[in-house]
Amino acid sequence: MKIPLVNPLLVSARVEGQHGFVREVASLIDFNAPYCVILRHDAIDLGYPHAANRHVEEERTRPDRVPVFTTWQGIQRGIVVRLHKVSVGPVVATDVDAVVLELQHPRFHTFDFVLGRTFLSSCKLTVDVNKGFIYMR
Amino acid sequence: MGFSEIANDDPTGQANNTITFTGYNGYGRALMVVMAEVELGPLSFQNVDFLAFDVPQVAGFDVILGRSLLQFLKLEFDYPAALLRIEDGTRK
Repeated sequence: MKIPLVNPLLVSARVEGQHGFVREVASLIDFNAPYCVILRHDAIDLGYPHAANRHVEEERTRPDRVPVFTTWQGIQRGIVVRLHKVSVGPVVATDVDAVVLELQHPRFHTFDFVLGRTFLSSCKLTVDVNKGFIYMR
Repeated sequence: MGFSEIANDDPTGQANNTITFTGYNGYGRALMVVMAEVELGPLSFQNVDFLAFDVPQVAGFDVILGRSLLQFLKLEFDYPAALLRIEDGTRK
């Protein structure tokens, strides 16, 4: 699939949560993010009410839902939700883990979702910034 | 590497090349410097913009290659095979 490249690396993704709830989200491709990232209000709308908790509260009762991982910003923690399906055009992945991060300014971003390696791990991806396209298969 | 102004952490006297940027975790501020040359294996690129800030040691790397360099590259990620191929994207 050939996707025109918007600055930054943005594509449109279809995310399916629990009970058939679906959202189309502007998604940033982050080759190195260990998890996909979802905004808190989207996670709640998609059927994951525990996403409303703060991760320190969630960790007390469900530590398995609060992974620790490293990014270039250091050690991160967030509540994980398992998305039923994430698709970018014909590329589909099921049971994709995404974390809800406590972002400083979630309403100021130009994207709603980050496609990290929990989605990308099933893909072959060619990024040609010069020609302005991403090929995904 | 010759960019001594990066050591200046005086908030009242910021250098002219200080810029504010956004990541998905909020706003950041850093000095922009121009690296004379960046080599990636056999590929070489001149005058590449870099932001100078400290990456936490726990991250396990020293440099992030962003769009100021990626714009010159063609990248092929084969995640199932755990391979990354990098080519000169400016070549016709």
